[in-house]
Amino acid sequence: MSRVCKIVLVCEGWRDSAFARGFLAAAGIDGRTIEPKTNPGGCGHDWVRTQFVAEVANLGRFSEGRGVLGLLDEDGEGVTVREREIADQLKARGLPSLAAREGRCLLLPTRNLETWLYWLTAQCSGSSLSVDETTDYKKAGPPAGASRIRNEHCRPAGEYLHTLNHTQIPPGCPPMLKQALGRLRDFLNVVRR
Amino acid sequence: MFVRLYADNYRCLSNFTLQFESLSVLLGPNGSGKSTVLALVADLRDFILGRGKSLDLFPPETLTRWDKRIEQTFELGLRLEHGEYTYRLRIRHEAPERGLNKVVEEKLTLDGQPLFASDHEHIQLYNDFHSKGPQLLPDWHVSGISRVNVRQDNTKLTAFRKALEDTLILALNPALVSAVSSEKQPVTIPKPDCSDFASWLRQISASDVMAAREAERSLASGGLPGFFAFQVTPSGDAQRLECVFRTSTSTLKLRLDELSSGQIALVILETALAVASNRCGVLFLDEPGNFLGLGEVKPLLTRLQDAALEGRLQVILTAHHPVAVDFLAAGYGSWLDREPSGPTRVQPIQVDETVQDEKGEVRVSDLIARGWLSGLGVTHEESSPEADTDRSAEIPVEPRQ
Repeated sequence: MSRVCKIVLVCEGWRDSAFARGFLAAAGIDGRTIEPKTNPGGCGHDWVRTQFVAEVANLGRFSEGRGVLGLLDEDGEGVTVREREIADQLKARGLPSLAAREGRCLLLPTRNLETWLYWLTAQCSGSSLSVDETTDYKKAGPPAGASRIRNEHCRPAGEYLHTLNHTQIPPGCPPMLKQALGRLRDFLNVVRR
Repeated sequence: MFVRLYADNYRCLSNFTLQFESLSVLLGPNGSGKSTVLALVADLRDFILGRGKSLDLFPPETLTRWDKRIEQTFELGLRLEHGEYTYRLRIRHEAPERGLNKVVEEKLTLDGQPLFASDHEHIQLYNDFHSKGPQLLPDWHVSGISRVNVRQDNTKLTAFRKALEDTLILALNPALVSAVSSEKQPVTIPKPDCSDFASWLRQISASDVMAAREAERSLASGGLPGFFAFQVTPSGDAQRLECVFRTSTSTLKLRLDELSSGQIALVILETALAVASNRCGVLFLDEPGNFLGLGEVKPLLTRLQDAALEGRLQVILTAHHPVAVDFLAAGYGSWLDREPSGPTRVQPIQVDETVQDEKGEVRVSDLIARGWLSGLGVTHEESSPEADTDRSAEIPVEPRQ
């Protein structure tokens, strides 16, 4: 049987892609059924928005696809603004709105993916770390008590996220990460069908 | 990790420098020098490891056709645990018409300090603290580094050699792959075309069990649909490599050379990836997308990218395949190009934001196919006879005889 892609993963960069694929792999999703798409250059936000909407359109046209998963850094713009930008584009093209339980899942790392990576990596190693969603750790450097995140931390952080129960999340979890975990659980229900 | 290659007066590489990253993708039209780069690295590796003589690896046909000089210069830069190594080799073609050449300089330094030095008269050995040791007489056609015995005080030199042993350079040709392993000598490094894959796998299964198992596991978990395991069966004095395919109702054993070209390529690539990852080695792949079904290319590239960016190995690819180009060119690509009778030149690829806009997106592979290289940030210089004259005037020329 040749490969059939079930999930299209739209990300700004390799780190987001590795993190999301780590979560999906821990959930038992075969990596060969995931089509990662990362921004080849230019503005990452615009690219993710455009590609996400295009892939949602494809989802409606081809029966093999089960879901589109997008990761878009909030980057201080506001979660509502980021979601509305995509919602508006979906609406403008006559496409169904965002709904993780229907396979159209958008995650909004706030302030960016590094916030999640620092918190998850610390949790994974048994220590606790305080992070906030307003500091840009990419520019400011690691939070107190943490060492700089490296590429090899991304997939394990995603894998660790899968072990968490979103109804009993450890204290100190960034709110948008908790929301993301709920969305990912819903998303898994669709793509596993 | 390889960080730099320099070559002068070697085929189309004239005063040519290429920098490498943990993931590097070489792109360019046919004849631009991509495969030449990989072939040169393979030849340098084989020379340094004593797997070939200068007469065989650097025959006079490898001299740049339009260059009259009789000396070739090569440099390799590697960043390893001990620091930054620079290897330098100069070969002089004293009598190209008779195929004669000799090594006139071979040198290895670590962060600028000597580890090995030789000229055509003597070899000077150094210890790990860069102090002079004994001298040897050189063999003009063999790497002196290959002749150095492993000692307790030359671990830095032997680490360099080990890094080259862990460097795989593959330009697959599945049609040449044999299922029979009859080599009396163990194959520790496969030929670039991997025609000796069965012998290599036999060696890996004995010396690198974890890698062999990982390759099998990866193939069985979807890498090669239906694959269950490798099996070796005696065949006279030799052994025959078979692939066992299993479904819920049947089992099928196929000799390696009975598989399709694409299946053979998948078997070799998965094995190479497992071995290189297990050794934290380096994997050079010439057109890994060749022979593979369209759906197989992206999963392979994704795994190569993951392994490279997570620091498990270094990956250097050449690519024409549009899937590879669109996936990896931006961010990891270098553009190689040359006039038909000119030297290879290299430029980094940068995808212009304007080619990725909302309505008129043009894929990187489309830009290359159309020759619209400005969209990749690549300057397309028109050469003129005057420009060629100027360039050659900068090179000291002497008669080639």
